[in-house]
Amino acid sequence: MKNNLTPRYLVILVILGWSFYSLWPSIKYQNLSDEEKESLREQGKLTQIESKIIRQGLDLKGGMFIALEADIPNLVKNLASNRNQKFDDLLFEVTNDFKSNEGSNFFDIFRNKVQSSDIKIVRYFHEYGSNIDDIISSLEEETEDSINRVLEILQNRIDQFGVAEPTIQKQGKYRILVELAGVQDSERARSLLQSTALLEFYLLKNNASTTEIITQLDNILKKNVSNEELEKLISETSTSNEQNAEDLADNNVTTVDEIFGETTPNVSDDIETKSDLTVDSPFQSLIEFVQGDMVVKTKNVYALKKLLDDDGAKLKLKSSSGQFLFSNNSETIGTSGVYFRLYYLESLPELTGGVVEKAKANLGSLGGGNAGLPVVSLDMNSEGAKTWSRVTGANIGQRIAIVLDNKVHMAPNIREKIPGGRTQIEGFEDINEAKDIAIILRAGALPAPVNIVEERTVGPSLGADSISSGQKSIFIGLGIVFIFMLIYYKASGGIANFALIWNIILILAVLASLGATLTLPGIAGLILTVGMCIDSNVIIFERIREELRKGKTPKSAIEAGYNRAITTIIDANLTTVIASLVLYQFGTGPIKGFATVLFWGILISMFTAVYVTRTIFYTITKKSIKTLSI
Amino acid sequence: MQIIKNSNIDFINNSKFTILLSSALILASIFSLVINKGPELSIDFKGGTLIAVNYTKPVNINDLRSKLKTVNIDGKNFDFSSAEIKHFGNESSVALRIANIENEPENFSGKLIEVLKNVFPDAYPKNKNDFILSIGKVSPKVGSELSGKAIMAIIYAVTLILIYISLRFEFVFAIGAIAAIAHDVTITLGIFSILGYEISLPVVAAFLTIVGYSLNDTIVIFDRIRENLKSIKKDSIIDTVNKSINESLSRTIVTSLTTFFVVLILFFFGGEVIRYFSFALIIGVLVGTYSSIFVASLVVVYMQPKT
Repeated sequence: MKNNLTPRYLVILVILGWSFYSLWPSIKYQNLSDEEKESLREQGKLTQIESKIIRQGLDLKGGMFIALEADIPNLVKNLASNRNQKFDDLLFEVTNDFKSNEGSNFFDIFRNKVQSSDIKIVRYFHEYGSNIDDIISSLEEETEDSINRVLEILQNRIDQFGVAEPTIQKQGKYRILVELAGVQDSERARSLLQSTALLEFYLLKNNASTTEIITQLDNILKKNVSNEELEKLISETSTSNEQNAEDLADNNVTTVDEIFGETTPNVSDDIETKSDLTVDSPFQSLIEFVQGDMVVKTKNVYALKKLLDDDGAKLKLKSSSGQFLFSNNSETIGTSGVYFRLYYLESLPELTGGVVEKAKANLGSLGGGNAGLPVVSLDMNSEGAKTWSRVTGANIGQRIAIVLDNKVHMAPNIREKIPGGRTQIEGFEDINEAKDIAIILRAGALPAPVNIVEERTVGPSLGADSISSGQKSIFIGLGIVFIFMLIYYKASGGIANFALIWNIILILAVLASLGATLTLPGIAGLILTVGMCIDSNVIIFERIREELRKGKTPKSAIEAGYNRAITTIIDANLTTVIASLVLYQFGTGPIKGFATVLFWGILISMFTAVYVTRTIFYTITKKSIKTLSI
Repeated sequence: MQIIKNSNIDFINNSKFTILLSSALILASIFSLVINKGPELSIDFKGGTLIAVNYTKPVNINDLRSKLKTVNIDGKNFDFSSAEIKHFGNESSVALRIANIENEPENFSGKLIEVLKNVFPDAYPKNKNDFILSIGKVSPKVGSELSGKAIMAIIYAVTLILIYISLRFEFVFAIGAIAAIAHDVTITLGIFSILGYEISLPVVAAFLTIVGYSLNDTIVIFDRIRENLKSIKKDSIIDTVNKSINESLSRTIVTSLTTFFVVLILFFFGGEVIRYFSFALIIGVLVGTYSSIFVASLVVVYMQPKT
């Protein structure tokens, strides 16, 4: 045994000093009031402090985690030029295969399908290469590029949304992970992220062609959809069995003759008429007309979409270069229920959102038709302004639909030529929605739609619950262990307890300096480490007791006990270290938190439970003592 | 104070009862796993939506179930009455788990929250934030990725640990350790299956911890065996192993007891979110301690090449 303990004291002191140094920002941050935090934020100093504190995970703080995946099939579809039915069919097949085989690579399937069919792929991707390999590799590149762009755009959107500590990162090639701590309105955040923000301006088709397409569609659908099928469609979608006044109106359908006349639905229509109408004109039976607009009862929207999805209907629409789109929000019309408006538009947009330079949400000015309603004002770039003035100039008296993500926000009449490229969008539920849309329009449209593949939201109350129950378990657990150790090992148990407190402080210090996140499983890991740390001391103490029983002096028993216990401790702890490393490698979010705490906890326990306690024992036995309290 | 003083129990030759007990537990576990077609997996691995909400007063599960018989979302009818619905921590909180549905409506979880709000409008708290406890949504694709990862994690962890043991000890010890791990994980899985508890990501983490913990215990005993094999060569392997287990028995019991206290408290006070996680740890500590004494060493004795 070394007589000079000074180096040991120094090591312990240095580590002690370091742990307080790295814990200091966390302690300081804990004691900051909200106002102080705000003023530090304004000075730009808060982020600096926040990078040095133990962060609370989403499960403790409340907030949401979202994993988004770019819709690769759609992206590839958008990249293709001269698309035709053959290509769409191929892509459809590839997409189905891709979706049903989990973990498969889209481009591998795409390559196989292309090679096994007689399709000439160069036709659609001539800009990307002259053979399949070149095309696939440039498509892959293009996809990755797009994901990076998506990442950037989402970053922009989130920054403007105003969340305290957003993290956004890429996982693998096609996935983006977003963590929004403390987000209150998960729905709003979700739509902010997911909205592709594809802004388009379409001309409405005139009434004559609208009436014509409805008749034509009905002629096609009448053959394809049997009466029973449609009945089933409708009953499948209706809320409950008709008993109330609202449902009475169900049986009532405005016929095509009434299109531009009545707006109040006629309640006296009987079921028979409806059945006749359903057979002859399934499409028309689902729509009514109000103020020259087609409207569809909310519960019939699904049935109508299904009809429009019919192959024959799709073909017909394609050949008439038109499309049906629904309005953004439903509205209550008269007393007869809640409706969505339905528009028949040109299939090609006159203008798209790429031309938007500025977008700002405000309330409509007094005197206008939208006074007090939330609107988004747009400024277009010079090219966009030119097109906009040409389109509006050439179509005075017609209606133009402003479409965002395939939903019609408004379809105003063009009263005059709009030269400056300024325009306003209406039709938002509240100012928050308008604000979000403005953010999205400013940040730009996503090059590909993104799907939420994983979402975890923890409400603030559950988070607070978890913190308090975590703290409670730590204190009770520690208390019981402390008492047990004191009873079982007396003064030596006290030394072990001292090491244990040290162990916890040091783990927290390491977490703080790593800027690691403390999650609920992390707290569990901390509690488990308590057990592991105590185990080292138990192994040592049992050895010392054995040596004492053999009749050794306290001094040599301690020396022998530590020496013999150390290999056991290292062997036993290393296996757990291996398990924690693997967990860290494969785990996500909370599991990573658990693994981090477990890993550092075990390493630190080797220091506190072995090195620190040994130094204490050495100090005690400096003067030779006759008995050891163990 | 000392719980065990100079114990001298013949663990190896009196192993009939423990062999019987272990076999019975393993058989029951396997039986339950077979008739339930594998362990009950959470949305983490199967995909689906899990929503927990908090009403202002106690709600009846059957009542809620019948109200979820026909639910209209986006004009389409759904029947959620066969979904898994249970209380979450207390009588007024409810957790609803819905398996993946094809062509899931947009913003499905948000709309489900609305549905849950509307079924008991008078038990809805003033603030939406007090209502939503948690939302979890995992797509089947991510679910299968996560299961793949979890399986890989277990395989890697076990392989690496075994390599380590083979290097530090002899190969027979590694086999003993494998037997103990397999024993522990099978029984814990079996107990989860019998009780109908589901395996989530945190539970897998708990399983890996059990593996680490059980090995920890096993290695402490192995260490003694190795030490005693070196110092006392004249004794038979059975005597040496018995002596080693007895010598480390005091430590095994003290450590297991403290760890057991700690996880027990985690189970009772750690909150609803980690309930199954801590439950797995409780079972793990019990089974792990048992297996390090009765399984691992026994295998080492019987696998030891007879010289």
